[in-house]
Amino acid sequence: MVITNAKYIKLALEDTNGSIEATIDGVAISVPLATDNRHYAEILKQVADGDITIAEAD
Amino acid sequence: MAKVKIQGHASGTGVLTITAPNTSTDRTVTLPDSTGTLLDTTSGLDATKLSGNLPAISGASLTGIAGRKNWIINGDFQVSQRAAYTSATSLTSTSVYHLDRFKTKINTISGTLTHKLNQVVNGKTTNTMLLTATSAATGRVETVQQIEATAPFISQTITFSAWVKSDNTSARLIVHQNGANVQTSSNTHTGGGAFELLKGTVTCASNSGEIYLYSGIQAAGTGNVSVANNDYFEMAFVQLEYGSVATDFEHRSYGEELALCQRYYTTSFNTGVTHADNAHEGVVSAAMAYSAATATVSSMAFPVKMRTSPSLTIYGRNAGTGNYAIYKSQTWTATTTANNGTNESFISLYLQPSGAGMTAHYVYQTSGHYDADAEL
Repeated sequence: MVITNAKYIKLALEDTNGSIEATIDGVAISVPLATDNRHYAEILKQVADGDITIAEAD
Repeated sequence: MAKVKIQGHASGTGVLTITAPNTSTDRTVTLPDSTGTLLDTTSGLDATKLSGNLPAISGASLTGIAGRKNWIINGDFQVSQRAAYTSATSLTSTSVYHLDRFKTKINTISGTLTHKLNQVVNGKTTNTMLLTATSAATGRVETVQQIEATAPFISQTITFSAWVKSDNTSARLIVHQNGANVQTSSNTHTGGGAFELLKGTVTCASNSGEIYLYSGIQAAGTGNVSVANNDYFEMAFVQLEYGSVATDFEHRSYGEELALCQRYYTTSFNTGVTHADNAHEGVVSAAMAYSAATATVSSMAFPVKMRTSPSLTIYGRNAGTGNYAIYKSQTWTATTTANNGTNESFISLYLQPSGAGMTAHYVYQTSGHYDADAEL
């Protein structure tokens, strides 16, 4: 997967991250923070490999 | 009085002996009142002689009987939620899901996928998946389905099968046990261009792990082979089942198959509609404005509980792109749409429309579309 523009998104009215918005293979996708979600697992892998970083939420 | 006559054979030389069991009870064996030969372990028994309560027989020994036996989902390619692939669709070197539950890729060659409807295979009308090479090289084209369950296969004998048409003698099916890192190939296609039943059997290891069924033009270990331009692999009736016999394909209704697929992928678009902004009438839901009157949350239940919290792709309708719209001040207004705790059961979106015009705690219509992906 080619992942760009990864950024945390906070849950509404809360101060905790709820998802990651990213462009994956050219498509804007919202990825939940669920370890058995294949997109989130790949994001974590690419972060661990130093290939991408995830921007903090606004 | 009827009589009993024991008659020898004029040509034979063997001696037949009638023996008594070790018993102290008097028994009477009544001979059948018909002409024929008594059954022994080598006798055939036609169906007309079977009546009453039958003994328990392993399903693996039966053919022509449908049941809940096929671990492959969408094995007859009824379901195609993502798009209509009835025209040739280019493949990439990265695995991509096209027809539900199957992801497909090419390696060192170019190729296409086509969803063929209403093809006659083994005397039955069904859909098929056609993979076609569009260049020549040492490479491969393959599609794979990963089965979600793992524990049921530990140390079990399984059989995988499909009807395959190909002009390449490396067309085959392969079961890959990820934990044990073992690949098992079916027999290969003759390359004769007709549909043939390919099948294989393997006893899974105690550490079999994830089970993948690969299908395509490939080596026995899923490696590259010689592929010519226009070589093709078309398959139907894909099945993986317990036992050592490839039994008849288990047909399930479209509704059943769709529900099985929706555990892994679901969409709000109608079947056959292109998934894009403003491509189709949006799904309208109601949402109540927060007290600040600047935002609202739209929630809808998924048709079936998904495997895990899904990734979302959002499409606009009536206003904006990539975001839901909200109807306020008598006009559809684009919003900034964010995932807000979507889980296995519900999609939940936080919508912030531009400009003023909402009233706290009033209910508004929202409109848009989504794809939800919880695939393996």
